[in-house]
Amino acid sequence: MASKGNLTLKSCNGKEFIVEEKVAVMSTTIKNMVDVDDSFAQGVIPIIGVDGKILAKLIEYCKEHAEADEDEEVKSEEYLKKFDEKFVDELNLNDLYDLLKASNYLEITKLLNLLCQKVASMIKGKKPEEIRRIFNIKNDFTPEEEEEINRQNPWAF
Amino acid sequence: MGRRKNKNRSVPQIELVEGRKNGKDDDDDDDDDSTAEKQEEKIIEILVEGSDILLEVFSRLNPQTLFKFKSVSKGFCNFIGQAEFAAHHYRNCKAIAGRTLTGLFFQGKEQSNLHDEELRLLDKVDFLPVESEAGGIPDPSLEFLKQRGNTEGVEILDSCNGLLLCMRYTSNTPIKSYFVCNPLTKQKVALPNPKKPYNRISFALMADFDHNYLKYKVLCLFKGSDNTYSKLMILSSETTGDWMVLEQELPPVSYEFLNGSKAFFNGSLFWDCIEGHILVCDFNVNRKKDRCKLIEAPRAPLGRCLWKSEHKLHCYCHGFEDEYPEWTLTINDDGKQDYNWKPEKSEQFRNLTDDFSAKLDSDNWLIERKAKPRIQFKIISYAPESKTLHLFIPDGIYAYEFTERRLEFLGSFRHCRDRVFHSESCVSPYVHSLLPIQNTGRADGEAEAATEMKKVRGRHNKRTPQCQDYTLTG
Repeated sequence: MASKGNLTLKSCNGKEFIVEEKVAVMSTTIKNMVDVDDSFAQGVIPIIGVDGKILAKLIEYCKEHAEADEDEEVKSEEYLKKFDEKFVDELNLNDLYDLLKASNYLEITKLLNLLCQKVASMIKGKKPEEIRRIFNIKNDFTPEEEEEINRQNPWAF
Repeated sequence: MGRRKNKNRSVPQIELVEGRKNGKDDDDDDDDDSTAEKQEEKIIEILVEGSDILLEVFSRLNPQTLFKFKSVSKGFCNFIGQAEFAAHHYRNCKAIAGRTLTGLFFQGKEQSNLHDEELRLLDKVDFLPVESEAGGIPDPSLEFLKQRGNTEGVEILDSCNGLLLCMRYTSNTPIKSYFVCNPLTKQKVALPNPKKPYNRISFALMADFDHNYLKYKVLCLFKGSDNTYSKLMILSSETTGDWMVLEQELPPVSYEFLNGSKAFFNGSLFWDCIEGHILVCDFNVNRKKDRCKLIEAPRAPLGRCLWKSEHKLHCYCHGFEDEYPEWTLTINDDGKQDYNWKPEKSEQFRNLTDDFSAKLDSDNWLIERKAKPRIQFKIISYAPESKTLHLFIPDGIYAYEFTERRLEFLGSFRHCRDRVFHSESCVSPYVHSLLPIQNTGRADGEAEAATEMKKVRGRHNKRTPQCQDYTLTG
């Protein structure tokens, strides 16, 4: 059992992490659970659908940011920016998408924003046909319609 | 999150792995997960599952990319075109590192006699992208505002939060039409012509985010009789009405302040248009309740300019050799709004003046200008991400990077090269927005403009005093 001020988070594959409450409540979902029901603060909080590896990553991120929120001197904005950059750069794609899903579910807004920005930067240079393929979207424009819509926005190409 | 394995599949191409050559996979059980198809499956799975994420990801793309993606499918095109999406996009643009500047709209204006509107030369409007990620603008010279091609010209009067205030004129006629437009979506709203045109001095635009659209207010400063006072006329997108004149009398305005610096900050317009003062106009200004405030401006013998950064309003004062030239404004919001200017003891700005003078000397400037102790530049905006200040002098636009004290020439005004200084040329900071303009009942304005045309042509109509004193030559 976690000592006072700490929470225990349990991943879907059974790994347990003891974290400081201020770190865990970076997740709005966890914050709501703890606020509503005291028993969560005492016992173990199951994090459904998030495995140990991803949960460890989430905690790593939240820890840095929670500490920075508490003490700006030690962890400056610049430090955080560098940390964020390194954090997303080191992710492989599977982790990126798993984290995206997990941070959405756990409502860790800062991280979700960071990851969405990363995905956006990856699809930015794609052509419309690549977007169709990646997102499995059927092109329902007739060739004339497509030509017309491209003609309206020549500056975009 | 079960992962299926694809042991036998080779890696034909790695999609979506840009700039990640050393993406070493340290997990023990998914060494081969990065095949293209697998990744794509994963994206589809997530993005289809959570439309929130789809919205979040796509609302972080620049408009140029979004317009490109319009041809993906009809559904996609609609998704991007929705006001809700635009609102999300707007919020994200603002949120990301306090992005306050996409680029600069600029237009060289020349007026050899400040008191005579007839002698004016206008460059074409042009756009200078500043933020590298932001992409361009579909129609930088705002041709979409014109109806009759080259017989017409467009003058840019002001910009605010993604909207522009423009005036369209027809060569050799007194016809003028005013528009508020979004240069990104090419939406335009025609404004009724302000009355008493001979008294008009200057225009300003305020625009602010409201739910899923941008609302605006246009301000027109005009001279009272004998130029003993001045007044404001306001037109609001929140009413379908006409211009309304504020009762409040303001001190007279001189021509030196014709193109005084403006900044929309903290929901109010700050306008350097009255000697020794800054005019502060709240967005919610209305005839009955509020008055515009006049706050004392920091002393500036040779002129001042206002600009905003992320959280502050700044003022640069020209004409001091030994003092710090930068001031910032603090606003006490408790009940009564109190405004206080505070000098910033920043060496950066002292360096700026020196660096600017040195640069212009080395560029073989005209002797008459070199002879002046300082060059009067006008600061337009500050981009916090790159620690870069944007400023202009009569002949061109410069970027100044604080850390390395690098001054870079960005672009020039065609008409104004080697001419005498005057502050007519216009450089407007612009931040892009896909949001529609609040439009309570006004059409896109061509109908109104046509009526205006008829009115002016058939001079028998006595109710059309507009424009009679004016002729513009392009």
